[in-house]
Amino acid sequence: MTVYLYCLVASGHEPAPGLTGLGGAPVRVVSADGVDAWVSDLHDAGRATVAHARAHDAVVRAAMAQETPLPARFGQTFADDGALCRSLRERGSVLAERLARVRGAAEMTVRLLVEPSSAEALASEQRSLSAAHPSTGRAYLALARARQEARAEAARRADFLQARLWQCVAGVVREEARTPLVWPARSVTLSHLVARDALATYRLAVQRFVERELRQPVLLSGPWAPYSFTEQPRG
Amino acid sequence: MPEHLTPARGHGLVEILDRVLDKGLVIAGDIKINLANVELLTIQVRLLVCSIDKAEEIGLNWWRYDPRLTATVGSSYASAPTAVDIESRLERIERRLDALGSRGSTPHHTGHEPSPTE
Repeated sequence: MTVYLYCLVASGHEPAPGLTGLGGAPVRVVSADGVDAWVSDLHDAGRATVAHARAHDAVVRAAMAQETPLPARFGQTFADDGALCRSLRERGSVLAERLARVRGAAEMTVRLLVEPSSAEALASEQRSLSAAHPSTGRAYLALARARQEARAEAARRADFLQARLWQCVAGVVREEARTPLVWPARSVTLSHLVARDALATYRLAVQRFVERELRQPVLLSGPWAPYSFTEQPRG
Repeated sequence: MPEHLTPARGHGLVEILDRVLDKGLVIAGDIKINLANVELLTIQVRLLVCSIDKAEEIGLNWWRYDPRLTATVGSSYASAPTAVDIESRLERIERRLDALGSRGSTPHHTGHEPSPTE
């Protein structure tokens, strides 16, 4: 049997009676240095299933209903409560700082499509992506260069949109995290840590950004537990 | 919700997996649920081995067409064989190959055996 970790919560919050996690095991608390770990006993750690992933997220959301937790990545187990406590104590000050940072906040996620900046750029990119096998070496190199330029242009556009979105939401966002441009899907995911009482303002700010900068809607999801903000911010 | 914002469909599976599997706090524990050994053909969501963005980066987007993962599925994919179908088909093929292999090796056992120097 092992101890499965769901999230860390500031002291003083208990799982609701009857809350269960992986395998239907009851969720309990392991405390160390002012941080509570929400865990459950795991008897069979064999196979990862969708039900496991859903159960993990459900426990994190249950914690979120009380106070913003630091959600743990799926799949982490410890030999026993003592092993977990030792790990928590090793990072005690950092974890407390991160918990304080996310307190009262939620993660909002914007997924947007990075459209080419002009019709000309779009046409050029479509030509490069739909081109058949080039018949000569010169044609191959030209095609490779066109694709490289299209990707670079999309990356620049993504940077531009990120900066413009930041201008709109900076007043209500504590931190920002971004995934690399997905190519050729040309999607970018931006996550924001937003105070819970500012979520409505945040949504309006994103709306303003979309109206000004984009021709297509964005996918806005949240509020989530701050999965993207569990580590120290870079820089 | 403003009209230019498309809300995610609740806490959809794809959104959950994107977070749970690829983000979140990692402290010094063991990853005992063996993601590397996930049975790809029987676990419905192969996203368990990589996030959506990473999957798309390497050209994997099959999950878009998996009827168990998406609300709307093109008809050409709706009738696609399931993982269980593929697995059982694979087993049948392997059994036939084994049978063919043992039949094909019969002359060796009954005829000339190669010497150690051959």
